[in-house]
Amino acid sequence: MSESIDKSAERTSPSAAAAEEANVAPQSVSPARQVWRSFHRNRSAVWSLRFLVVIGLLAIFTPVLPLQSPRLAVTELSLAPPQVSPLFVDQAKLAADAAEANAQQSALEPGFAADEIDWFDGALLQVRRKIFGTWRLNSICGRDLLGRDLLSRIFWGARISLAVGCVAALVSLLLGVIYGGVSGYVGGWVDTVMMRVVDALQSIPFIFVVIFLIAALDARDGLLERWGLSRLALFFVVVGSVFWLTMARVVRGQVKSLRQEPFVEAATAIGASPARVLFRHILPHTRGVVLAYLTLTVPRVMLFEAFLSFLGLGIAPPDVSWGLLMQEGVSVLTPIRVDWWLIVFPGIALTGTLFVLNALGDGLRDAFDPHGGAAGK
Amino acid sequence: MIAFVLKRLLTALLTLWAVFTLSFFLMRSVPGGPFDRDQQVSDEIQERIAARYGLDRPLAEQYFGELSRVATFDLGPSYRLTDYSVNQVIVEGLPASVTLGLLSLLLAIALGVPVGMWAGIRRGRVDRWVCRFAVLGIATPSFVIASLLILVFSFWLPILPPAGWGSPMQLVLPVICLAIPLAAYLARLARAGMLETWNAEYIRTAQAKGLPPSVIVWKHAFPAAMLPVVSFLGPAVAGILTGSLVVERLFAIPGLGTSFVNAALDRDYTLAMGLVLLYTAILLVANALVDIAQKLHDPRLEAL
Repeated sequence: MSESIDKSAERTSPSAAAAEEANVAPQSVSPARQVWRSFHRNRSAVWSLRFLVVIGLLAIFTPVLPLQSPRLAVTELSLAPPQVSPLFVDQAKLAADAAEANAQQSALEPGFAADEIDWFDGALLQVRRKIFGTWRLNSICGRDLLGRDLLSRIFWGARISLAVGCVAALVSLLLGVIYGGVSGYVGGWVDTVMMRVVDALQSIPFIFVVIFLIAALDARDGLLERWGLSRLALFFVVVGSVFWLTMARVVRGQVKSLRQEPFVEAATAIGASPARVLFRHILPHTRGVVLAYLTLTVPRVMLFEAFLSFLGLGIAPPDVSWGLLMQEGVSVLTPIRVDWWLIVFPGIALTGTLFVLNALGDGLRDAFDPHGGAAGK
Repeated sequence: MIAFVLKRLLTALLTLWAVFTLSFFLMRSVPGGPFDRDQQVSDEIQERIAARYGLDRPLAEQYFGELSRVATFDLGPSYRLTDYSVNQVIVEGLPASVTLGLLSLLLAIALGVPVGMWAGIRRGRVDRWVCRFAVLGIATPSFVIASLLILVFSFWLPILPPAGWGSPMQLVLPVICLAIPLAAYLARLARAGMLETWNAEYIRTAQAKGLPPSVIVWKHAFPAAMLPVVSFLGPAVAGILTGSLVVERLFAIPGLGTSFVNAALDRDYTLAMGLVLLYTAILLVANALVDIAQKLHDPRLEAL
């Protein structure tokens, strides 16, 4: 039992500092191990972590899975309900006429342009061809209006939804840690001013400004390309720059209390520059709390992406994201025929992922930052 | 207290000015105008349109002109809705949005606070399940809730109308959709507040005196446990404003959220900016009210 805890503790914080701490005090329980124990006791957080790893791996290795192409439209099967038998179908037969239509398309995945598939996905698709040939899972989650396989679209949508969440959260991490770190370290009136700015920004409904900005920039054809930005890249930057406020606040609080520690004084005494003290000595100590809040930022960003895509302002076809799938599901909803699968399955995927991310983030926060307001402000 | 209110007012005005300036220059810096249409129009017409909306004057003049107009609560004409002023759009959309928002807020409080308090007092299994449901409620996007509710209550069991505005029945689903995520947050906060309060010594004293539990909960513990809840009401209003964008659109409610999304999609700059300013103002007022309420509620709080 203790062995497994040891291993896991190393896995959560593999940095040298944690190992050092463990060496210095072999008798007592090191902070890293304390954190791990506290986290481990939180069963729902541990389960969330497991689910999340599975979801992440499935998303990364989607091209290997025997799923039909997310863009292959089989129009005669429009809005076909979920089908379980036979479990596997031959995609070559399904797409007999569709494949002929466009020679520019990738031979590996119908519907994608050849240059749209990078080397990683290409390699995975090759592996899939070796293993499964043209056999694919039947549409066990049903088909959409154009007859595309919903299960496959959910998997490909996971890649974009998760990527948006992670990248935008990293942007917010960078901004928030630097801003909060500087504010907390410098202190004095600089700190006051910087935090007043955060207060003021927090009272602005930025979501509206962002929606407006994205719509305005996006509507002009070619403008984004001229700036060398895709809609996705714009999205990362804009969203990341909105969600850094909480992070800045949290980091500032941590830095402010860490500044009083003797090791900071020691580093300053031997002549380390302020930047070095802040970035090499203080900020590494905040990593636990930062990790916790980063985990909580990811679902917020994903929710926002889904929200915008749902309104038609986020991810644009032919790319898929979960928000877009929900929107498509709602748009075909009529009293005459209820295509429930188009709403239920993407809804489960989106909500489930957001749920485990939130549960994991809460668990991490309780473990790393026990006094940091379990309520979450 | 008066100094405090004045200070808040000043900050609010500064923030509004900053938002105005930001969105003004954002609008002007985006190349191309709101009057780019698919079909080509002659230069003369372009010039006329620009003159009509004052777009041909120097930027500084436009800025100060518009600023003084906005300062007198005149948000100008809508760029896209012909012969409509932004103020008219707001006057028409506000009642629906306010009704929806207030009802959702009330439902969220009525639902979230008692459940959270119950979890905080009972602890153990009740607490764990309430916490799980709270995380689920926070995680579920309002449009997922809305779609599922429409699916179940409008189409499978046709008891509630799926869209529209006007009758009380049409209010039920949108209000629930907006209220659920908020109720989840409030439940968590009420639970946290109750957990802390329930260990206080005066609660033990009250119990030792043999007071009935309901008196202890509502008269003694409730006011103190509500501190985190009250402080969250500001962000709660923000959440309702954001949520209303999607919910109003989904349920075809003629409110401000629908207007805003359409304005953004159509690049109706004046309308979008006017609504952003309105939303900011609402948020600022809500935050100020919450601060005042907090101070009245807990006189120990320092002047902010």
